Amino acid sequence: MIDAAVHTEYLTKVYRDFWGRDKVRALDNLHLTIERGEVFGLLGPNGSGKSTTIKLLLGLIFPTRGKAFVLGHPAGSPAINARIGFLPEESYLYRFLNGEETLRFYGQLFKIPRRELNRRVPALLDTVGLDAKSRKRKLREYSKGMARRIGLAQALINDPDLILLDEPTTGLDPIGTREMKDLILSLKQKGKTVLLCSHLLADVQDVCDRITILFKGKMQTIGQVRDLLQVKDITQIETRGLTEAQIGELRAFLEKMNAGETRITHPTTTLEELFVRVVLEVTPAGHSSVGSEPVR
Amino acid sequence: MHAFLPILSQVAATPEPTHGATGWLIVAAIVLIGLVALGWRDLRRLSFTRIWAIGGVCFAESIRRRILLVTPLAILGVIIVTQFQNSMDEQDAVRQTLKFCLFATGLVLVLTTIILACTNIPREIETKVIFTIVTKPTSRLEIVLGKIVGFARVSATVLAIMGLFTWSYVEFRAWRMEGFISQRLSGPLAIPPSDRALLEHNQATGLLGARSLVSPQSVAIFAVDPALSGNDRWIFGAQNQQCVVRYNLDAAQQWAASQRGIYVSAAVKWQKYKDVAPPEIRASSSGFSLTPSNGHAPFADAGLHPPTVLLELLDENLLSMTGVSLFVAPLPVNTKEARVASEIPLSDDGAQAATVTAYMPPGGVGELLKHPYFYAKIGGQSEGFRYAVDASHPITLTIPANRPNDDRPTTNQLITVPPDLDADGQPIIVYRGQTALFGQQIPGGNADEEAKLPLAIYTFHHAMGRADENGRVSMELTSPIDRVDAKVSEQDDPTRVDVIVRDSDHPELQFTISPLLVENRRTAFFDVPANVVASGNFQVVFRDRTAGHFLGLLDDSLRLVTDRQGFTWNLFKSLLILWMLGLLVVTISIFSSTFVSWPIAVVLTAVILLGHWVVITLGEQNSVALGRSITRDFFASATGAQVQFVDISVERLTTMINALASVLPDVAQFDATGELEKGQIVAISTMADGACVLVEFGAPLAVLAYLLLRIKEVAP
Repeated sequence: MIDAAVHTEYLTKVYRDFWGRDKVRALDNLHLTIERGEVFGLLGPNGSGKSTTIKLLLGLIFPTRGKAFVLGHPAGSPAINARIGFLPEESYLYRFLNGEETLRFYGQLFKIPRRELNRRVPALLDTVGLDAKSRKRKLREYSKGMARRIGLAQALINDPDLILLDEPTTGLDPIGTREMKDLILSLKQKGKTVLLCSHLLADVQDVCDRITILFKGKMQTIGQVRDLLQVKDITQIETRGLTEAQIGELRAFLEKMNAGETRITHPTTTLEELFVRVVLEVTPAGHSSVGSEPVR
Repeated sequence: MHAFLPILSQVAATPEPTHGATGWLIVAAIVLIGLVALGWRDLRRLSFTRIWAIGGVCFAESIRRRILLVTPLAILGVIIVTQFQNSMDEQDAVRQTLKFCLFATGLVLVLTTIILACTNIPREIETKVIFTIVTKPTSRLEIVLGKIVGFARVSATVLAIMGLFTWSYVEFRAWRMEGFISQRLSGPLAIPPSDRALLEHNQATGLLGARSLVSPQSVAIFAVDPALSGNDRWIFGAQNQQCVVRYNLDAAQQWAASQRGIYVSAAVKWQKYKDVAPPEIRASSSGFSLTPSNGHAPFADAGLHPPTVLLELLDENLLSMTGVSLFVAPLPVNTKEARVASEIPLSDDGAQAATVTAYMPPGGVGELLKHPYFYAKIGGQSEGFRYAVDASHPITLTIPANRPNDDRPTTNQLITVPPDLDADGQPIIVYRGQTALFGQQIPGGNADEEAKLPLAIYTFHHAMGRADENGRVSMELTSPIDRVDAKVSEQDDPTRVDVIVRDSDHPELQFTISPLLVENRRTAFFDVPANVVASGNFQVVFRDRTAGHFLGLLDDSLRLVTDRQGFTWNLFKSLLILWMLGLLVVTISIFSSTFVSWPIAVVLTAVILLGHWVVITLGEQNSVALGRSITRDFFASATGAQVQFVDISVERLTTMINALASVLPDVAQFDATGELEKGQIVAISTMADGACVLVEFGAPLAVLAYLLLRIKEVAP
C-alpha cells in the first residue's frame, strides 16, 4: 500500500501523431513521491512536462508507460477524485453560470448535500475574496483574477486532501498572489497536501517545502527548498536598531577578522509588500479588493 | 424529425428488414459487456445527483445561449404557411394546419438537438471545461448520461413550447372552421347531398376529435351473396374474379412434389346468367382470326365459348410466376394422360359439379419452392357464365403417388396438401374481384341488373364498435372510384352504394343503408344500430348502384370506429413520440461526437438517422437489371463474362448495403403524424414502435459512447 500523497514509477508519456508514430516525449521515467501534508513545487520551463505530469495524475491523459498513484490509488479513478481539488492553469469553467451556480454545480458532482452547500458556498466565496455582487455575475463577465479565484473555490469545494494548483497566481494581482500564498500555507497547516506548478519562482520559494525541477520531461533535481537555495560560503547577519557608529565598529571588526568582501546595507522591502500595504489602506472595510464596481 | 417527414412517409412503405431476436441479442450483448463486464465500477457508483447536475448544466447552457429563440421563428413560419394552404374542406384545413405545426416542431427539435448535442463534448474538450468535470468523482458513464438527460430536457422544453402553440393554433383554426360549417349549413346556398352529409358529420363530431379505427379481417367479392347460395361460392367469368387458396408445403411435401409433381383440382358448377353475342369468325387485317383461345369448338346453342376455368399458381404477391410454364398446352381434362392444362372446358351441364384438374410437373415445382408460400387460383374465363366452387374446399392440392403415365408399382402415398391457416386457424381462402390500380373494384349498375353485378363483402371479426349516446356505431368508407363512361365522368354526382350490415352468425339481424353517397377518395360516414354489430363478428355488403362507376375496394377502405378521444391527449402522445425521436437523435449525436470533430459528428448523425431509408431505397433496386443497365450504358462492348462480373458485383454490393441497413435505426417507426393527421387516436403500439427503436439503438449507442469516452484522452 502506497501511503504517499503522490507516487509515480517510470511515468512516461509519449504523444503520438495520427499514424501512431512517436512525436513528442513529454515525460520520461518520472519517479516522484510527495508525502502527505507537504507543499511540493513542480518547476520547469515551458514544455518541460509539468502540465503533463498533472494531467497524468488526474487521469486527463493516460501514461504510455509506468504507473501513477494518488492518495494510494491508481491515478484517474473517479472514486479518488472525490479527495482531490484541481485548479487548472486557466479557469476552464462554464462561462454562462455565475459564481454561486458554479460552486453549487461542482458541489453536486461531489454529492454534497444541499444544506451543506448552502453553508459551504458562501464561505468559500468569502475565502477567495469574491463579494456578494461578484458571485451573482456570470463568469464571462469576470476579470482574469476573479476567474482564478472562482477556479480556486471550485477546487476547494470538496475540502480535498490533495490540491493540485497549476500556475495558481497567474492573472492575480499582488494582493491576490499574497492571498493565494497565504491560503496555500493555511492548507498546509490543516494537513493538506499541495502540489504547486508555477513559473513564478518567488511564489514557489515562499510556500513550498520541497521542489523538483523538470527539463525535457526528465527530473533534474529534487529536495528541500532551503537546502537547494542555501549558499553555504556566505554568512548573512540581520539585526535591528544599529546606529551608524555601531555599523562602523562592526565593519572594523569584520576587517580585523579578515572576512573578505563585506556589505552592510539596509534591507529593502519587496514590491509585493509595498503594493499590498498601499491598496489595503484605500480599500473600505468589508469590500473586496478585486473586480470593478458595477455601474448602477 | 420532421425534416424527414416527407421521407418518413415513404419509408413507411418500404419493407422492414428483420432484426428479430438477433438484433435484440446484439443490443443486450453490447449493453451487458459495456456496463457489466467493462464498466461495472462506474455502474456501481452511478449517481443520479451527478447525472442530473451535468444535465442541468447542459440545459442551462442551451437556454442561456437563447436556443429557444428558434421556436418563435418556427411558429411564425407555420402561421405564414397556413395562410397559403390549399385545402379540400374544413376538416382538411385543420389537419393540414396540424401537419404543418408538427412538421415545424419536428424540424426545430431535430435541428436543435443535433447541433447542441454534436457540439457539446467536442467544445468542452476544446475549451478544456471538461478538465473540471472529469477531475471530479464523475465517471464517463455519468457524463454521457448527464448529457443525454440535459438535452432530453432541452427537447422537452422545445416540444412544450411548440406543443402549446400547436394546441392553441389548431384549436383556434378548428373553432373558426366549425363556425364556417355552421354558416354553410344554415345558409341559403344549396349544398350537394354528399357535402351536406360530411358537413353534418363534422359538425356533430367536431374537427379535432380523434377516433380509433379497426379494419376488416377480409374483403371478398362474389357474384352471388353467399348468404343466399348455401355452400356454393359464385364468381363471374371474364371479370377477373377468382378464388385463391394459400398453400405452404412442409419439407416432406416439398420433396414429394419435386419428385412427382402437383395436381390442382376443383369441383366447379356453372350457370349462364346472360346471353353474349357469339364471337364472330372474321378475317382481321393481321390475318388472325378471333377464335376461342383454347381451340375448342364454341357451344353450339349460343355460339359462345364453352364455360372455361383457369387454374393457376401464384407467388406470395398473388402474381403469376412468369417465366415458368406451370400449365401449358391445353389438353383434354380429367384423363390420366393429362400432363398439363390451363384453360379447362367444363361439361355441358353446369348444375352438377365437374372436377377440373391440372398438373404441374416436377420441373415447375422447383420454381414454386423458391417462394415462401404460394396460392392456387381458379378463375372463370367465359363471359356470360358464373361459376361456383365449394365453400369449404374450393381447390384441392394433391401430390400423386406416382408421376402421370408412370404405372410402375410404388409405395408412395397420395398426399393431399391442406390449405395454409390464418391466425384464427381458418384456411386462407380469398375471393378476389377485378384488380384496379389501387386494390380491387366492383362495377356499378341498377337494381334490376343485380344478378349481373358482383358484390363486395367486408368481414369483421372480434371488432367491437363504440356506441354513441344514441346507441349507434360509426363506420367510414373511403374508396377510389373510377368512372369509365365519358358521360358519367363529366358529372359530379356521387356514387350510390347500397350497404347491408349484418351479423355473421345471424344474417337476419341486419341494417340497410340505401343509398350511401360516396365520392372518390372522400370518406363517407355512416352509422348503424349497435345491436347489429354487437357480437363483433359481422359483415358489411356493398353493391355499387351507379352504372359506369367502379367502386374501388382496398383492404382497409371500410373501417369501424372503436373509440374516440380528445385532441389534447392525442397531441400529447404525438409529441411524446417526437420526444423519443429527439432522445435517439441526442444519443446518436453524443455517440458520434465522442470520436470525431463536431462537423463530422453532425454529418455522421444525419447518415445514421437517414441511412436506413437511403440504403433500403438503394437495396430495393433490381440488382441484376441495374448491373445490366450499367454494362449497357457504360460498357457497350462488354463480353458475356464481363456482364456477368458486373451483375454479380452489383448484386453483392446490394446485399452488403442491405445488411448495413439492418444495423441502422428506422426513424419511420417514430410516426408522430401518421395517425394524428388522419384524425385517428395515436395507438399505444405506435408509441411502442418508437420506444423499441429508441431502446434498440439508443441503449447500445449510449454504452458505446461511454466506452469511447472512457478511453479518450480529454486533454490531448
